[in-house]
Amino acid sequence: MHEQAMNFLFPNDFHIMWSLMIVLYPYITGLVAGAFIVSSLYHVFGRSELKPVARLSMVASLSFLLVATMPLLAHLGHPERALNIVITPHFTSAMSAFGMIYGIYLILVIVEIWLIYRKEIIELAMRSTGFKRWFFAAVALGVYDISDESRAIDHRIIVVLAAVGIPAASILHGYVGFMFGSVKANAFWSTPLMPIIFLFSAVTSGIAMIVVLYIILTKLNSRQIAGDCVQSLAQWLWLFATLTVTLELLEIVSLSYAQDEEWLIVGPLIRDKIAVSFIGIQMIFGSLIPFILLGIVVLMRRYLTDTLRTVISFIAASILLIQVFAMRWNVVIGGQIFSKSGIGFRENYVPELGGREGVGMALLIVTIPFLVMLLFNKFLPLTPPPEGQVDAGE
Amino acid sequence: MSRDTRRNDFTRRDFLATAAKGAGALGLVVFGGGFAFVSANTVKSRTGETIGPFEYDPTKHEYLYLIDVSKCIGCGSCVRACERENDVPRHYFRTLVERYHVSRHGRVYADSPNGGRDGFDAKDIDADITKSFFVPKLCNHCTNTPCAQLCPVGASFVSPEGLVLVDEERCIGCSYCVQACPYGSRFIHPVTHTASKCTLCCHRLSKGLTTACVQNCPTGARRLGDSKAVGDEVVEIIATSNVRLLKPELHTEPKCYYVNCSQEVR
Amino acid sequence: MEHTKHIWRISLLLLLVLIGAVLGRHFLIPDSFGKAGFYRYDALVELMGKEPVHGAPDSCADCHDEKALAKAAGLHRSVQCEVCHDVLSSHIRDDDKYADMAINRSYKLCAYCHQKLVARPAAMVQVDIAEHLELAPGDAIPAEACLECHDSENIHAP
Repeated sequence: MHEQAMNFLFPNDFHIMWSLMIVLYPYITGLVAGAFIVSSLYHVFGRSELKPVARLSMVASLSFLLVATMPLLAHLGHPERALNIVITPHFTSAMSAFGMIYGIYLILVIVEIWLIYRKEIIELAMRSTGFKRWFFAAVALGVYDISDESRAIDHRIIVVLAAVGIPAASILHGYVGFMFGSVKANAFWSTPLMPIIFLFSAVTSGIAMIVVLYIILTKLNSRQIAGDCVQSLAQWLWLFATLTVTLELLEIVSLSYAQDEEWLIVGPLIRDKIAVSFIGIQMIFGSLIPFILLGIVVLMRRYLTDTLRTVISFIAASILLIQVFAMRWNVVIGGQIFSKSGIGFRENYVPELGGREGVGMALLIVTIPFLVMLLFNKFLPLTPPPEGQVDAGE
Repeated sequence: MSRDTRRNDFTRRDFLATAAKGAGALGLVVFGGGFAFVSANTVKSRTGETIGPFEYDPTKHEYLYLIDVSKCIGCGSCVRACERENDVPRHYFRTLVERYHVSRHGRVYADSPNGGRDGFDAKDIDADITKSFFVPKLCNHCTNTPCAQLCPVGASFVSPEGLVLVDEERCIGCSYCVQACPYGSRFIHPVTHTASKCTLCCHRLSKGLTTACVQNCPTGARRLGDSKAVGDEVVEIIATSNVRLLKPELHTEPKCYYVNCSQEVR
Repeated sequence: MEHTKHIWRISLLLLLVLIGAVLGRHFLIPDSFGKAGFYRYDALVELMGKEPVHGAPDSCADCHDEKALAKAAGLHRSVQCEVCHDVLSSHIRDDDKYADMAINRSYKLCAYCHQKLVARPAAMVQVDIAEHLELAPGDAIPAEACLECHDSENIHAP
C-alpha cells in the first residue's frame, strides 16, 4: 500500500539550520581528540617509535582546540550570549556539557604541554632579554628548576595527564556524537552508534593529520623522516580507519535491514540525495582506497622502501582527512536534507562563499591553528631535540 | 448564555473569556507571591458589572488542545489570526494547516502552501483520490518535551501549566531545539535570531481569554481544554473518543489530540 | 618536597582560575533564574504580560449591537468579527475608537472558506467561484465579485 509519497516538507522546515560551521566543528574537535590520542600512545602506552610526533601532536591538539569554539560562535544567532552555556548550563542537554568538557580539556592540554616544554621555556627565558625574558619567565611561573629530580616529577605527571586525557578526549568527542545521536526526531542521527562512530573517526582524522603534518614538517626542515614512526602511525591509522568504516557501514546496514520507518526516508536520502558525498567520497574514494593503500603498507612492509611507504602513507592519510570531513558533512547536512515530515527533501545545501557561515570563514578558521603552530615553533621546537640530549621530562 | 448553545466549540474557558470582555486593555503588572499573576485592573462584564481583579494562577491549569480534522475547512483563519496576534514573521509558522490527498493505492499527496495562511487553491492530481482533508497543526506542548530537554542554557522551558515557552533574552540561537522538535513547530526568528514557537497565546490565557487560533476558528475544529478544570468538555471528549497523537512512537506525550484523523497524517 | 615548587605554583594558578570562574558565574546568573524551574522566571511573567491583539469574543457587540444581533441570527454566527475584519486593537485603544476598522472587500476573503475544494468537508457551503460567476476560461475574477450580489446586510445575516 505504501507507495512513495509526494515531496512534502513541514512549512517551517525549508531551511538548513546547521550549516558548514557545524560540519567544521566536529571535524575540528575530532582532530583535537585524535591528535591527543597519538601523543598518549607514546606517553602512556610507551610506543617509543612515536617519539618524533609526540610533541607535534600535543601542540596540534592545542592549536585546533583553541579554534574549536569559533565555528560555533560564527553559527550562533547570539554569539554575545555564548557564555550563557556556562552560566546556566542545562544539564539535561548534551550541548550544555560543552563548557565544562572544553574547559577541563583545555586546562589539561595546556598543563601537559607546559610540563613537556618546561625545560625549553626556562632555557629560552635565560637566553633572552627584555620583554621576551620577562614573558617566558612568567610562562615558567618564575621557577627555574630543571634538575633531573624535577623533570622526573614532571614526567610522572605527564603520564598521568596523558592517561586522564584519553577519557577526556573520548568524552569531548563522544559527546559531540551524542549531540547528534540523541536527537530522536531525526531518523538519520538517532542511533546509539553515533558517539562511537564519531569517536573512531576522530581518532582516524587525528592520526591522519599527524602523518601529513609530520611528513610535511620534516621535509620543510630537510630532516630525515623516521620510517619507524610513519610505519607505526600507518598501522594505527589502518586499524582505526577500518573500525570507523565498519561502524559507519553497520549503522546503514542495520537501518536498511530492519526496514524500520526510518529507512523510508534514509534510503532515498542515501540513494539520491547524498549519493555522491556518501557512497562516492566517503565510502569508495575515502574509505576503500586508503584501506587498500594502508593495507599495502602494513602487510607488505618488508618489500617496500621507506620512501615508498612514506609516500603511500601520506596519500592515504590525506584521503582519510577528506573521508572524515565527508562523514561530518554527510551526517550534519545529510541529516537535515529531509524534512521531519518524513516524506520530503529540501533543496541541496550549498554553502555560501562569504558571510558568517561561509566557505571563507571555514578556511580562515582552519588556517588559524597552522599559524599558531608556526608561531609556537618559532620559540619552542615542534620536533624533538636531536638525539643525545635526551630529556628526562619525556 | 445563548452563545453556549449556538456555538458547540464553546468551552468553559470561552465563557470566562466572554466575561472578561475588554481584557485587551489589561496590563498584567502585579506579580503576587507564588505563581499567581494578578491583573491590576478590574474588568467589565458584558452586562456592565465589574469583575476582578482577575487572578490567574498557572499551577491551577493544564491545557489540552483538541483538533477535529473532520471539521476543518482549510480557511486558514487560524494561521492569519496567529500571525496578527503574535507578530509571526512571514514564511514562518506558529500554527499552520496542511492538506492531504490520499489515492486509492495509499499514495499521499500533502501540501501546505505558505502554511495555509493564504488559503488553498484547487489542486489537480492525476490519481484516484479517495480521501482528502485538512489538518491544523501547532506546537504539541509535549509533556516529555525533547526541545526544552536539550536547550543548553534553559532558554526553552516548560511553564507551570505545561506550556513550552522560549525566553528570548537568554536564547543563544543555536537552533538545537529546532532540530529536536519532531513536529517542525519551531523556527529561528529571522529578526531576533532566537528560537520562536507557539506560546499557546499564554498572554491571552493569563487574562482569561482563549487562544487566537481557537477563537478565530469558524467551525470549532480547534478547541482548548483544561484538564485541571472541573467538567471540562474537551477533556471529556479526549477521555471518551477515538483520539490519536502525532508521532506517538517518539513518546513525547503531546498535549494536542486529534479526532477523526487518518493515519497518513505525519 | 623538593623540586615541586613549580607544581605548587601551577596548582595555585589553576585554583585561582577555578575560583574566578565560580564567582564570576555566580554574579552572572539572572535574579529570577531557577525560581520555579530551570529558567528565568521573569521571562514567564513577560510572556504572560504581553497585550492581546485580538479582543475577547463578541467585544464588537458593545458598540455594533445591531450588526452583532443580526450576525448572531445568521449563518455566519460562528465566525468571529475579527476573522473578516481587522483585529480589535487596530480600532480600539483604552475603550475608545482611535482608528477606522479596515474593511476587506476582496472576493479572496470569501474564497478562504467558500471556494470549492475536494478536501473541504462536504457539508460546507462551497462554490467554484469562476463557474458560479459563469466566467469564460482564463478570465480573472473581479476583485469584489462576491459583494456585488451578496452585500453587507446579506453577509451579516444571510
